[in-house]
Amino acid sequence: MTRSVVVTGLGVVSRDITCLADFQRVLDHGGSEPEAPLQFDTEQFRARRAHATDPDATQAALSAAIENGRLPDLDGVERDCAGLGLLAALEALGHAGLDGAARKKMGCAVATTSGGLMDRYSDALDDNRTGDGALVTPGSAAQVFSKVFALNGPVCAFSCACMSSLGALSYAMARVENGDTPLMLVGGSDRMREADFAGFNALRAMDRDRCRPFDKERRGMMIGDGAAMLVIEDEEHARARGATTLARLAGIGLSADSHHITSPDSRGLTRAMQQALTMAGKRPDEIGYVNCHGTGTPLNDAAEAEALSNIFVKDAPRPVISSTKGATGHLLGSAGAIETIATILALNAGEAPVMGTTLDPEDISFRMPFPETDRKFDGSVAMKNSLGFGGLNGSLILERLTTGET
Amino acid sequence: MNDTIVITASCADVASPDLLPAEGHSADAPFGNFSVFCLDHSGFETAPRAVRGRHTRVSYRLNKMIPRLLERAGLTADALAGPGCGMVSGSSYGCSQVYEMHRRLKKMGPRGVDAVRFAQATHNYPVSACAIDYKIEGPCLSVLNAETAGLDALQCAQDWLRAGRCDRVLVAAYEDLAPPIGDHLADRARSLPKQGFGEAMVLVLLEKASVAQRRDDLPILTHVAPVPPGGAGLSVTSHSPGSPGFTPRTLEYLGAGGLIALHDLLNSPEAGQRGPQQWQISAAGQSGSGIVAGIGIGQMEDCL
Repeated sequence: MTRSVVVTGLGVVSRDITCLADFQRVLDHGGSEPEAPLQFDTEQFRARRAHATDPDATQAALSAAIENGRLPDLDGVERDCAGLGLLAALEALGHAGLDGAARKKMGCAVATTSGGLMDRYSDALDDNRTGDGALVTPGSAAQVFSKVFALNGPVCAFSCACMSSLGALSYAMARVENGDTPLMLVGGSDRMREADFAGFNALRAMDRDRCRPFDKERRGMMIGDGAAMLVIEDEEHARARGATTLARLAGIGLSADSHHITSPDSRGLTRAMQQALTMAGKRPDEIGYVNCHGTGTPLNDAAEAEALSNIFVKDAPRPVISSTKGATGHLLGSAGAIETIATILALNAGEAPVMGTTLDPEDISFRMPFPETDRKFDGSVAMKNSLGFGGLNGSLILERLTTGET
Repeated sequence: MNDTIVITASCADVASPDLLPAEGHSADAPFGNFSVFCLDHSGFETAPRAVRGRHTRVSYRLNKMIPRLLERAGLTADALAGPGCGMVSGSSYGCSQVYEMHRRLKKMGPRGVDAVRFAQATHNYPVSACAIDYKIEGPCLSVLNAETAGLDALQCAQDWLRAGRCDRVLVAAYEDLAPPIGDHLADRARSLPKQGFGEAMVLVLLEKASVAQRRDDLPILTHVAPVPPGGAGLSVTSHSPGSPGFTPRTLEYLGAGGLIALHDLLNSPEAGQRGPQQWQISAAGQSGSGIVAGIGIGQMEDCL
């Protein structure tokens, strides 16, 4: 029999976000205007803005955490990509109330698009050196977390484009469900990279102004960067140590479109949602809120709306849906993790995050939470969907625990 | 009760010093002057332009390897089509295409990055491209995780089969040692005496025993599980009395090493001996955390 998996800690770092309280403000009021990233010159690109972190602020926060003893010395550790994740992990571990001894049982699963290697290679190219040992493996963030937090459980990293985080979550859930470990640190960590910026520009998938999910005039995504980490735990283990449980991870679905590398097919996401519902033992009419992938590209949002309509039939109660990418940007490999946290916060508040950038919504027959509309939703079950290049899909079902359950 | 998981077939392309001409070796230096051994990519390099445009060298090799695997499994491509089949890959360094895109950006600016190359510059491109070509609609993921990556991928496949997400899974493990990864490893090899690195791709088909069409005595995947830190490198051990033992290859195949050991073991004389056998393949990563896969041979009758 598999074990029930609950969430007991959350941590987020992104632009304008250094902690959960910041993130809640962004979800309630919408994010600030995107700006040209500080990491590289964007003048040569068609779309030039992003929701990018300040790399100096990240390094300063890491140094402060080392100085006050919250992190060990990071000599020799890749601090750019993994550094964002370390800061998010610090908050998540603190939120879960886990000290050093408890962490020994813990494992780690990290999602990233390219992790440390590409960043280091970029630096090495600048210095005209590529063979001097400057490279680290793309999955190195997971190794870094394991070393820094002295985690003795299973360690794994996933790079599956923009659904990487749900891939990592599926692995972490399986480790807890199967009893391999009672605790997993899981999430995503990605930094702003010029190569991603160039690639999405080449695809003409970026809006020059704002990301406007499900808007009639939507023109594309807006890249962001950051990290989001969750502590997930065997429910019995959490109960035994008196931890506060934030949600139950009830089921996850995974599928491939088998259609096209960059153009999604609604049937793939439909299958992932169906599998997630089956695994969770839930009916579509029990879902109160869906946090969509919602990149704001014409193709993604159309396919996603179609898939949602396949699952949530018109003559039954339909959930409130939203995308938080208008507020946070698209955090690529970390997107699924930060949006899972947004879903948990929404589930506990009973209120969906506001979609402040969608000005003229497409009529897709799902209620969406706009600034002047009612954002409340019914029910204690929510869904988080992610799609990735190559036609990869993930769908996660989360459940708010009722008072007295833990 | 969990359905038994069988290892229906495997195949591998493994770069090896054995494939070099004799003059490439000397008695006191096992790998001669070589430290990084690469596979022959001439098939991809001489393929029609449209094929090369559609594939990377990793996705091309994987695409070509699938029919070989299917033939060994006694299946046709129809067996992979639909949501009943999943695919997962494991690698330490992932696809060189990702770094190539970065190199082009540095050298040529934005015009060096086009939409097709960008789409191909994801570490899941090989499994995604094959999923499209073979109509695979089940779970698809790519693992990047140092020396344990291949066995981690095997564990994902086990998770999916046991959870009932699908009935069969293609598990791939590879290392793509084009520059800059090959250069980087050559540098590493120079600092580690007599250590060489090899490029490789391995493909394994796992099935639920209840759907496997081959009914001969197939090896069983008894378990894949994490193990606490403490182990080092790759090892293959027998838990059967009187077993002759099995030694994995000496070259470092990084994330592909675990599945190469599995493939080699299943095709070895040791595995062909009479009587039930229980083997374990263990790998440990940079963090020290490890993973172990249990293989049962000659035990199929007990499970059906």
